[in-house]
Amino acid sequence: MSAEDPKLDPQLDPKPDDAEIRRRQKGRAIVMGVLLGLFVILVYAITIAKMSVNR
Amino acid sequence: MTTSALPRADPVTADWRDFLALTKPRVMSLVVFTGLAGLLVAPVSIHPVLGFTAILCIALGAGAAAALNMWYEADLDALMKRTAKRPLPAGRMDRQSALHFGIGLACFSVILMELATNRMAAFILAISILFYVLVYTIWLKRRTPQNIVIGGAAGAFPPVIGWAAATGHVGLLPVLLFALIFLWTPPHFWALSLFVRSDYAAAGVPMLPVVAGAKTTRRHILLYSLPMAAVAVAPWPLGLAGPFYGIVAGALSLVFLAIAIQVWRSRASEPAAMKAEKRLFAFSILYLFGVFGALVADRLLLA
Repeated sequence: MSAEDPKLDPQLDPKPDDAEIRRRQKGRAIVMGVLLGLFVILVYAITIAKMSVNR
Repeated sequence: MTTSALPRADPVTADWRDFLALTKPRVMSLVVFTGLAGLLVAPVSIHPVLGFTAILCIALGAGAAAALNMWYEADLDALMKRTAKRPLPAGRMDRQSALHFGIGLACFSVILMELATNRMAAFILAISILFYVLVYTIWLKRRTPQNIVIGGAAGAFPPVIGWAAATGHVGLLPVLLFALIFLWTPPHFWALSLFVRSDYAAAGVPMLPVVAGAKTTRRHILLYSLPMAAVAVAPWPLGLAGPFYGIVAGALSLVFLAIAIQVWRSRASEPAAMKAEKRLFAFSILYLFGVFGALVADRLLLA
């Protein structure tokens, strides 16, 4: 994505169309879902690591 | 800070890539590497998962500081060619989203660091974020040509955080590594600011070449390079590192000083002719990677 792209730059196109907004919302939702999943795995791994260190 | 000149953007229009861009991922590589070096050279080993989490927290903290920097400097970024395409000046994101993202990421990184490692590492991480945002970005950057000197301390924290994550305290070696990055930062950024001087002048940022001229800046680059080289080699005679590190750090520092002397002797006024300045900027990045890499390799060799 670049600022030169007229579809994505609000300076050139202040109202992205609905399809574009939906695409971005979907992209953000997917990324947030993946990050939350990774966070859960990380917290689990930290818990196991802390238990093994403190044993 | 003014906001009227900035384009507004609907909060929903920002793409996830714009949030990633807020964290300045390219700058983060050096932060992560020096933080990892601090963690690896510590005398106490750390569980790999906790070590990974510590480095992740350092990266997230650096990303948070970068996001808050972009939030505050959006008006300045819009005036400089180098930064005009960032998410905020390009209008792809609203400023409030950047602020919330930066604060959220900062809190998350500090809390996670405390949970995974210890309070000392979390405390230094919080100090480094606050220092970068409050002292460098908000207080110094627009007020003094010494902005980069004091502000450079913010980027010098990662090896101290890495060491503290492993040991729970701060020793002499991480303090020397802090001093090395602290003294390395001015020559690195002043070399850059010499050939992008017009950008800083247009934005009204009082960088040294804008305020004091190229000749003074070149002298300052050399003046900072000398103690930087001394600090880089210091761990060897102090018995904190072996001869491998001493030889590599010494050789790299000599090359750095040689280029710094070229910069000092240069009289180039046009960016296109500033070959020594560009060489110093490029080599300075390699230099830091080389010195920290040598320190880690030295510790592994000794082990």
